[in-house]
Amino acid sequence: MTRLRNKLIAFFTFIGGLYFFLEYILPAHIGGLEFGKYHEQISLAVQLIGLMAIGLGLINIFRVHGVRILKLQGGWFNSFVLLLGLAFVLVLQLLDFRRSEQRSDLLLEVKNFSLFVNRVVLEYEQKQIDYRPRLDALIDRLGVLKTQVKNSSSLLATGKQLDSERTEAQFVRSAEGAASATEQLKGALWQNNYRETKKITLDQLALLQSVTQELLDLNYEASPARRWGNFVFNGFFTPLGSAMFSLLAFYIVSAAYRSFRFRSWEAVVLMIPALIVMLGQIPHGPLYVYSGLPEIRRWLLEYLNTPAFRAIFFGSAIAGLAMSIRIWLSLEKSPLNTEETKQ
Amino acid sequence: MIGLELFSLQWFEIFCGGFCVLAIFSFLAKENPFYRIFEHLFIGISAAILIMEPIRTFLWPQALKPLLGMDRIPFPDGTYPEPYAMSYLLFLVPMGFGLLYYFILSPRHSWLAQLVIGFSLGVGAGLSFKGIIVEMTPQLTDSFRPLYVVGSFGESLNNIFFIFVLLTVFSYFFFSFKRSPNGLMVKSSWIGRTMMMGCFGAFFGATIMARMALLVERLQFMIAQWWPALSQLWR
Amino acid sequence: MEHANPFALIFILLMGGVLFFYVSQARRGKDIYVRRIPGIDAIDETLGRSVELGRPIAFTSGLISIGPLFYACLSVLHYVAEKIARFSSKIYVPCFDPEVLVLSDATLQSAYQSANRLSQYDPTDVRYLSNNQFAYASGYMGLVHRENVGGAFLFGSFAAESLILAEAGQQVGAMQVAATTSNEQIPFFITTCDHTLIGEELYAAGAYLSNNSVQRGSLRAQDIMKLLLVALIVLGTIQATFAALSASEEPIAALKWVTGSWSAKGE
Repeated sequence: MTRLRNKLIAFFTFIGGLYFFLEYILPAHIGGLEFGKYHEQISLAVQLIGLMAIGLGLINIFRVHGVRILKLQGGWFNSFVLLLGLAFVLVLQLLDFRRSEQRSDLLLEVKNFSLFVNRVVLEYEQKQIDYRPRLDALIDRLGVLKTQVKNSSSLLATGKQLDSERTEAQFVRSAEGAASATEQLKGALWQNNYRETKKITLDQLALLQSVTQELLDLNYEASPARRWGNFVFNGFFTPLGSAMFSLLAFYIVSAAYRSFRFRSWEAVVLMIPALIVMLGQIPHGPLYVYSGLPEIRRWLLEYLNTPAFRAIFFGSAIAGLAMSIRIWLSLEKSPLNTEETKQ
Repeated sequence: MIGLELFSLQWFEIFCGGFCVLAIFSFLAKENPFYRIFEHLFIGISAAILIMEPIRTFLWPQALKPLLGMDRIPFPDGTYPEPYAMSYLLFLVPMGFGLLYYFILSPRHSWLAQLVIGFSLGVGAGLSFKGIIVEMTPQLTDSFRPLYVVGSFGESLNNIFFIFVLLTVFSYFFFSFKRSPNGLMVKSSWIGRTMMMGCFGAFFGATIMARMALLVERLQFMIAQWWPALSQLWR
Repeated sequence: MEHANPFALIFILLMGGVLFFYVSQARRGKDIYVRRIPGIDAIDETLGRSVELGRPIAFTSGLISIGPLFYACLSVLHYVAEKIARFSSKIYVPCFDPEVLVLSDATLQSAYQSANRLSQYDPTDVRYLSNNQFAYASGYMGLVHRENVGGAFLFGSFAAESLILAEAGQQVGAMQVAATTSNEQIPFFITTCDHTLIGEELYAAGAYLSNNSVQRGSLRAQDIMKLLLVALIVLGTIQATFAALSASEEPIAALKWVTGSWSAKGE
């Protein structure tokens, strides 16, 4: 049974690498057939597989910190802070996400009005489908959206800020303009003389679309979830990350002090180019030590660093290639598999 | 700070940001409860942000939303711009396969997780062929340098030194060839290691200023933004 | 979308062929010499020291994602974890990525099972910290200090946070062994860790520790391919020198061969 499982795992490993290997090795077209035609979809599918593991991170966090809180083990308060932060930001993110989705759905709906008008006219021309109830539905919908601007809980309502009042008024005017143009289009279709009117209607709808975008953006930025999300990001996430990054300044000095003490020839070889490059980067080096320091620094980085890093890279690249072949063809005894590692 | 209203959201951002910096910097003295709280807060906040981010930017818009047909907004008359594409149902296959990861939590069925683990490793291996060769080729061609450049003795010396460093460092990374104690390989390898140390030293020196700049930026924030915001409390 | 040119295809196929040859030789029992790599010997030294002091080990792969490099790190993790299990000590494996978490967890389970100590396996030893570089570093720093680790292994892929991770271990007096192919971080590991494996030595660590025939055969195959690469560089250099001497504007043969495509159209 174990051998069968191992063969199955090896098979899936092989399948996993097969497409990408062939996609690289084979030319773009083989006898009229485009091998990579579904490359985007396959890449998407592969990313989806990896993304499914995301819940395991959350499960692990709850396992480690949740148990600590429940059993009141040492450090339980810190774990509580962690989970509180996690929960709070998750809720904010979910609310923000919901808002963002509603906004983009509404924007898409307004964007689709132009497509709708084109389709109504085309289907009337080709299939004689009655345009009147369909265009009436559009006019009704425009009326609803116009009313929603005044409703404080609507996505289109932003509260009493100067910019939003102006934009709200613009939206109302655009919606009225679009409704009026649609009404005229109905009349023009009846008279079979609608090309110019259709163009006017589409222009009005395009204007409505741009105003809607502006209004929705204002509303979204003013929404509580967004504002609190920005607060957490700017007040905690970014300063904590920047502060951690700036610790490097202290640690690099400490590392330099520890290493550059001439304890061995390697330390000497390490230190001398470091000093030259450091002094070559600041104005005081060429000013007080030697004017050619920047040039020496440039030379060191180009003719010492580059070939050394390149040689290290070549070695790693070949090793990586060998490892890839071993993994792909399951030549390697897997460290994940007990039965194999016992052999 | 001019224009910063006390107890506004922006004020709180700066106020909290400063305490975050102090908490992290307190670690330099000693690991302490103040640091510990902010460390755990950092992990909690970042875990939430980075769990939601791929869901918002990838999983939902690219897969779940089209799969559920929620990317189709109806026209005012109830019809749809385009029909539902049944091909989206194919997304269920990779998603279902990816869910096998969760069997790692079951001692009895963890081998099922090995299927998707093996698949992911295979994908990683398959992708690396292209990644490695594409990265290697320009570096390889750049290494074909003439040892004598007509009209430029300096450039000739530079190229000779370049190839010398490249080959001696390369010689350090041969593991399976036996070496006689005072042979050429041992000497070349020693020179290669020396060259590497020089290279690492140079690179170390090159990054110091960049690291200092980060510290200066944080200190500027503390002095120019946080302290004025804090002092508004008693002014 | 880029596709392999003749050079790339031949290189990969040659790599595969040479690999198969030496792996089959190794499997048939041929002894393949692997020279001593001092940094790898330090792994056992670090383990022994930590066990003696009764302090746990930390093993981090940094910002790594699934791929051949991570697989190489897993080989070392398996070795370290198995030893830890046998000595009934403790290991912490903080992870950056959920997929890495899964594989590390599976490796740890496998290692404990190999040592017949599965009952000692604790799933919370493998911890997901964060996908954010500095949140991860912050969590690692805190873990190393609070648990007072006696030894730390930094095997994987690192960026700017490498110095923070290494300094954290240095501050608690842990013995540290680092290994990475991230060239830019090697200087920081060299100045902060007790031993540093450079570039390919990370891949060699698996072969050296496991005494596995496939890995030893692969090491020999890698050396052969490196030799071919050296020969190619020397050939290209000679051709470039002659081209410079003759003031030729034509690209050299080696360059044409490496960058040449399948057809005149450049497909």
